[in-house]
Amino acid sequence: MSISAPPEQRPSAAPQSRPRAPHRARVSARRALLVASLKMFYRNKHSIFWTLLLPVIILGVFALLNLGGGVTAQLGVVDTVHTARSQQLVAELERSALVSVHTGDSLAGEQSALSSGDRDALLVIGGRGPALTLNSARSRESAAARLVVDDAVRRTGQVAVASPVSVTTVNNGRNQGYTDFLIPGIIALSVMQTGLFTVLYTFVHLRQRGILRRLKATPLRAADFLAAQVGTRLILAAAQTLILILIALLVFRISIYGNVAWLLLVAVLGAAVFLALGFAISGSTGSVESAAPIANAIGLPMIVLSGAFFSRGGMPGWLHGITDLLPLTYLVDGLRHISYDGWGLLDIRTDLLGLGAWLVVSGLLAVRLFRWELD
Amino acid sequence: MSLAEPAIAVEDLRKSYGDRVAVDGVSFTVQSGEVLGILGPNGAGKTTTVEILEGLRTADGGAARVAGIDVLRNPEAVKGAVGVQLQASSFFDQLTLAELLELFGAIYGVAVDARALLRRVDLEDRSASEVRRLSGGQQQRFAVAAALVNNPRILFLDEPTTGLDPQARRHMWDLVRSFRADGTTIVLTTHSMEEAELLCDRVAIMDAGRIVALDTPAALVDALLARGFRRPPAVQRDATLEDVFLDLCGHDLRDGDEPAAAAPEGGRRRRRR
Repeated sequence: MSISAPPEQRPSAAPQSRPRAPHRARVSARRALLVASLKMFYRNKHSIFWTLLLPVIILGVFALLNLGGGVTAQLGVVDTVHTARSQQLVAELERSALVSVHTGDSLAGEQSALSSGDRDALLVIGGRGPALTLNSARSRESAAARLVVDDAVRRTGQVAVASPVSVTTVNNGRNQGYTDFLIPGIIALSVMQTGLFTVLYTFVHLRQRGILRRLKATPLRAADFLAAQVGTRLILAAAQTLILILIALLVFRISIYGNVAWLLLVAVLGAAVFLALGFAISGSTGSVESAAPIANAIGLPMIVLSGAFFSRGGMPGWLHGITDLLPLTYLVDGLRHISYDGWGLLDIRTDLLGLGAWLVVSGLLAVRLFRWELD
Repeated sequence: MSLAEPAIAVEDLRKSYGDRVAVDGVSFTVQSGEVLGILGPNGAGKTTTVEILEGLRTADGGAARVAGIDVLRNPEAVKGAVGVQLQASSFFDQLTLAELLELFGAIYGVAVDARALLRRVDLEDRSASEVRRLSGGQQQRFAVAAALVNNPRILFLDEPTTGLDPQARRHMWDLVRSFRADGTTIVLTTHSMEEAELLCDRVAIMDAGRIVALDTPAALVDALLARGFRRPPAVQRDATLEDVFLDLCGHDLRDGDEPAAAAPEGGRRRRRR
């Protein structure tokens, strides 16, 4: 609290005022607004829940779904002979609850899946009998796969005609599961939540109640006000990302292969994109009631289509092409390439360029469409 | 009246929203230290006129100078020179009254003694409260405190007593009188004839975007009587229903949160919160 007037001042005397240089006044106005909005965020239990707790809960639910059950090994099976006996073996394997059998792909495809860590073991049924390759980095899962394969081979009587299953071991150097894949997606979603949804709701609410109207009656410039709001939310997005990364590392024990600083940088860039989108949309939205469907109409398809939770690999080509261009896709891919694939900033330049383009477009829209009040 | 430049000078001010003419050639001046009331039915153009003078809205034509500033050319400069209490506006939640006043001080680039400002409007004991926890009268008083942050010589009060109970309304009147005693120029819009008569040096009556009369309250009444108007004699009484109400309930403020009220219903209201 800054008190300039003497404490014994008569109530009827107006408080002292001391004008400052215009530029310094603008800087101090921005800083005061930044501090005030951080304070408001901290005091608003709802916003803390939505920006920090909810992502952690979603993370927990997905992680539980994936990790809570017993061991399920991802077993690639490539049948190159297609005899009755080999087909019998594949059918037997598919009956097992301990392995999830992938037969669709070519030998090369399955081998690359094994080396990228998507398979725990690969069974190739050739003319000289079945050969099993295990991923030693996933010892639990590959051991289970080996047991299942041995059992199935014995049961289908193949052991009599062929040599015992030959076993090779590879180590793909990584030990990644669904949680490792999921974390960058959750970070991207939280960043979108902070940018798009909270800005939209907060601003429509502030305008509906005439709080922005009151600010408009002061010498505060819209640009300074927006700068303070953006600054506040970028700080929040960075903090949110950092907290999620810490929880992911300490509680879910994921491995992050890239640079955590790059993760933060991309998350903050993504936050800026969604902030600008949020401001642009809130400029033309009159009430909180109409903000909800708009937010959902934009947010929900992106959540489903951006590959935040599940790989977009199964999408038809045309849909893949369209969803490539979504801002959330760029953010999810950028974060995932750093965290999951260990890429650097140069490797994700496509995603950075995509986010940059979205930032320019939505930033221009935000400045054009921003309004203190609806006429 | 002094010969110095008037605090506010408005000349043929015009503003339309699409086809609807909101302000249709309004002219008036307000001398320094004067209290001007603007009366008129809803939609008469009172708020639009006032908001143009506050720099909140653009005008389509005419001229207006407020505190020596050309409002139409330089609306942003006016905002720093005047204090405003707006209709249908509010303040951030999650900030205390003191924090809000300091934030406004930072926006105006002035150091603020929040406690002294709150004392000025009788809210010193609520300095750690949020605006939404205040009663209607307290919220209006806080809006006035926020209008004083930049120590303005000109104050715009847009329907400051609308929706207030008689006690809170009288309290606001006392506040306005104290500003007038300090020499502050005040433009006040209201629906209450009584308020205009009690507080205003002169009254402008607006209808359909025009000023249809502008004079002291006494002169306006005299002019009406001179035109032969006679009030029906049957309703002449020495007291009004409001006098009855205030006699029964007292003049003390009933803000619900005021510590003074020891009345049973005041205690009940406090417990419910």
